Amino acid sequence: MQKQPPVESPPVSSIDVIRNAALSAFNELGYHGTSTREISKRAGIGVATLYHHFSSKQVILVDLVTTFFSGLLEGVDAAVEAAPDDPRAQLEACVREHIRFSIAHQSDGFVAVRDFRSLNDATMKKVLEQRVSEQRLFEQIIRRGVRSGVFDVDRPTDAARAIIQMCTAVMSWYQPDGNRTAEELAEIYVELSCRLVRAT
Amino acid sequence: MSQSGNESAAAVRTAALASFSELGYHGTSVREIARRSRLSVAALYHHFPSKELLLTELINHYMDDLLEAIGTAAEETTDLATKLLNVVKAHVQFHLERREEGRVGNAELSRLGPDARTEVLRKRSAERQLFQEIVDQGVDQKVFAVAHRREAVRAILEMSTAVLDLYDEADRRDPARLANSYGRLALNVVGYAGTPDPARR
Repeated sequence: MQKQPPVESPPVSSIDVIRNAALSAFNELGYHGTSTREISKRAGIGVATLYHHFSSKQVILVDLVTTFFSGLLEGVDAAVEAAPDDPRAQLEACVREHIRFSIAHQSDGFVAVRDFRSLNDATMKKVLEQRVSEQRLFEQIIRRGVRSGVFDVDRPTDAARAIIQMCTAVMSWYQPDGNRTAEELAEIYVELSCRLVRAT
Repeated sequence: MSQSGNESAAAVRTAALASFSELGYHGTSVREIARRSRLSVAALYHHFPSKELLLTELINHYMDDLLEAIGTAAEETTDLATKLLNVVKAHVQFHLERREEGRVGNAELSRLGPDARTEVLRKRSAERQLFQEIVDQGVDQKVFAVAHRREAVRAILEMSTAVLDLYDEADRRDPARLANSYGRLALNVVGYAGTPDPARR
């Protein structure tokens, strides 16, 4: 194995080490199957140090899930802002960003989607609000497109949800070493989404 | 198995599903399933020699019923657009009705042993194949027009599976409406331009 090149790597805080250890354990064993001891073992720190940063396993999951969904929502929001004032261009930008972000943060996203039901009620409510906000954003764009005659669907709410669902599922099967790059896949999903709303 | 034996086995299945759903497979002990099904651990082992066997049976049962539901829907008509519409509707309704099993099956598939897992993946592949054949025939006969056939099928399957993830109270009361709506969206995805979407673009 090659030695690390002698360049400065960014300092990794114990918080990041714990986050990564928890992520790999959740990914592999599921939230319920992961003990705090397992996380501290993977992080190479004592349980006491772990508790110093995170008071419970739940706090780590909350951090992981809310960070993922906030980032996704911010990314999609920014993509719409940056897009031309045109429903089709905005829908394309949303889908492109959703796929890009999901693949860039695939392990976090996979755990966030699969294990979000293990969140406490208050956090689950907050996360659901974030997910619903994204859906509303898609929905508003689709409604504008229907009004201006460039999209043709009866129920923009269902169309928005269906698009988000098909895009979100990408995290559960995408393989970086497979036959499509994230960019290629994003363009295919852009095309399928435009078809779904019968874009002209 | 005796009548009471059948009842016990059913109680164990229900208890196992509830426990896997709430605590996860890893978080569920055989003792916990026994407690929930009001049986002794020994009696539980009599019906199911292992926790893994319970999970295997649960997932297989779900997949068999799903394949039967979409297979029946596909046989109702020879018209390809109606066939795709019906199959998506059946798929969505099935996932809404059996949400809990679907979630557990998805989340815990990796816990199965290699043989059991292969068997489930074979059934999933049969599910995808049923959709793929309809779409392929539709494209060949120029009823549908979509360049990325495989991706289109994957997208349709995903949207009509993940329906169990985010949906609101109104849909809970009216799964048939949502199923029909998704069926029409699926026809859009494959570029179907005829009825039941008469407004050709």
